Amino acid sequence: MNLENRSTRGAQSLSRKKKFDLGSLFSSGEMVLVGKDLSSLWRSKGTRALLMLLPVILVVVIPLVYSVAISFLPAADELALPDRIAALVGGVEKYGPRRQWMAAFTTLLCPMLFLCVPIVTSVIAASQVFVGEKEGHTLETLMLSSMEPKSILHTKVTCCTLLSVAISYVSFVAFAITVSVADLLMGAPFFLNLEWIVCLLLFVPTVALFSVVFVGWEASRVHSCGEALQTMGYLMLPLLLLYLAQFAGAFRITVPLLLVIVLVLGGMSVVLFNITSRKFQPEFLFRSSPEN
Amino acid sequence: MDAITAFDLTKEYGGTYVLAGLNLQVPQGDAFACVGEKGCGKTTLVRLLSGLARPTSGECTVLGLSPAHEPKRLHGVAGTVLESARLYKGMTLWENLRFFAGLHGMDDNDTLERSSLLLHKLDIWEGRDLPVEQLPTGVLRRGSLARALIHTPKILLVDEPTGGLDQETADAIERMLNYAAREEGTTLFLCSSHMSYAQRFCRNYAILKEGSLLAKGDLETLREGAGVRFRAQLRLGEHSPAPAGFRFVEGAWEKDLASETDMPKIIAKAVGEGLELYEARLIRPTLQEIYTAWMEGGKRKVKELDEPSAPEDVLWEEGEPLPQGDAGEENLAGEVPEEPDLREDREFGEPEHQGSTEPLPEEEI
Repeated sequence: MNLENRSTRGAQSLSRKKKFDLGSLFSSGEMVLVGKDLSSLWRSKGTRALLMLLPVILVVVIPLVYSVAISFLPAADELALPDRIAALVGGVEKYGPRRQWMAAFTTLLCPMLFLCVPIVTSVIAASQVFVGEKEGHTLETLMLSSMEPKSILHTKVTCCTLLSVAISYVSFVAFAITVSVADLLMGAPFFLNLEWIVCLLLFVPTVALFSVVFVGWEASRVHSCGEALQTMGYLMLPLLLLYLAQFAGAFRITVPLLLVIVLVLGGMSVVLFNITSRKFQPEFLFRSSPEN
Repeated sequence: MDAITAFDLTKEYGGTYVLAGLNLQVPQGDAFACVGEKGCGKTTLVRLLSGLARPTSGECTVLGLSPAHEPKRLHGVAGTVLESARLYKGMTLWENLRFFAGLHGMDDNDTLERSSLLLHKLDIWEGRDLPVEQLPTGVLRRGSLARALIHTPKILLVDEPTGGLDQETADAIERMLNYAAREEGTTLFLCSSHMSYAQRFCRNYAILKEGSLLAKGDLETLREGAGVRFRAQLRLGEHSPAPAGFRFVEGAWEKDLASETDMPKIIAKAVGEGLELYEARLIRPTLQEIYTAWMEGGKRKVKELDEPSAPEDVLWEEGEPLPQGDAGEENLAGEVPEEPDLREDREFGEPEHQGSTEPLPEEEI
């Protein structure tokens, strides 16, 4: 009896463990497709370079250059943060101008730079995985396999989103090291706050998902990877406007506002995914007459 | 159960009807070809049958499955080769096969065994570790076929590329298709504009014209429908007179036959009349000839051509001057012979052609 109970409990815990396995997210066929997509992204030198260089530029090079530039700022009081911006950052009045500008940068502008990473990586990965396949005439071959078009879409969206989130988190580690060292050297307050945590845990996955779904949605409309990459601009523009407006003192991006944006983006992602999955059919993806 | 059924299948692209009310049944186990010129709807038909396109109206099934509504189940039992469905560049042939086998849920051992078999049968084993972009076109075509056959489908839908196939590729494909049909019971549905390939691979045919079915059946049925006849071909000795009712085509005497059963009579008569008969052949019309006849109007045209012909069981009448072949005469005169057109050649034995009874010189026969 005891043995039976133990074995049942063992099986239950095993099945509970299995839920967190990648295999529970994808079927065996989908896992094969994920493996192929990731390896094709890695094999393409241009894509690999973009996926590695752009995040490094956004979250390491730019903060580093800014920190170095700020360290040369004279310690005169007239160079202190304008009151409106200082009020947005909050609690920096006691610091000198260099620390104030560093704190303003890490609180008000760095989230914008960091949030560009999931957008950029999602669009690059998704354009290769969706439009690249269409361009190379392999999406059609894929549609002839034992996978439903919906399953192909689901797999590719999940794969690109997970990749983008993973790169974003690795980028965040690099960013945190860079900025923490700069903060320490300058004696500025530690950058991490509640907004950053919301950005990391909720905003990054949502914006990555939305960007991937957006590229998947436009896959039937565009004809080349380059064309798909151009849509990065449409996705980054609202983000840039949001954070630049904040830096101009128009408003403060607070946790509730971030949560609202996350909810709206999440809802839009679900709607767009459903629209895309209805249109992700060979009939819509390959429209022209094959007889020509 | 039919392997393929199509009822009133219609497909429209931008106001143009590429397929217009096609009705078709292909039995299981058959090797069936849809033939027609470019733009007659062959590729569209394969796309509809493989679920890559949806019909504007009408319906089709493959092994009882609807391609539009059950694509996953269909692709589990069907393999499709299309020129527009390519292999992954940046991956080797072997990796491509392993990838598609994985998508079909095959395990590593089955994949290894099946891939090896296909690569050997298709004679592309040597190219297995080369990236796809480095492979020649013929190997790529065979690779695409291997990809479509990786999961041992019950039916193979093939849209033959416009460019045709080289001899080596055609031989390898024929071997593979024969093996798949014989050993695995795979039904073949081939769409092609190359009649020689279609005739080589298939037993039954459908002729498509402007998106509609013009004729369907085996070679004999289509031949009868088109009114194309068997031909008797005789090669005679240098001093033999020209046989009546025959025309001289490319070094031999030819004559249309109403039936292949006439052939023994012609041989018997030729021998009985003392002709120096070296070789007698019954020439069966090719699919290309039958297709051309169908395109030109089938029986009607052939009937018109038949009307002035001489009686078929008479080689030549006793006492009448022996007829002479046109081609032979032209060659005697030292002129370049024209490409023979079977239907437009003048019949020997007609008054305006009767003349010299001189046998043809040796080098001209």
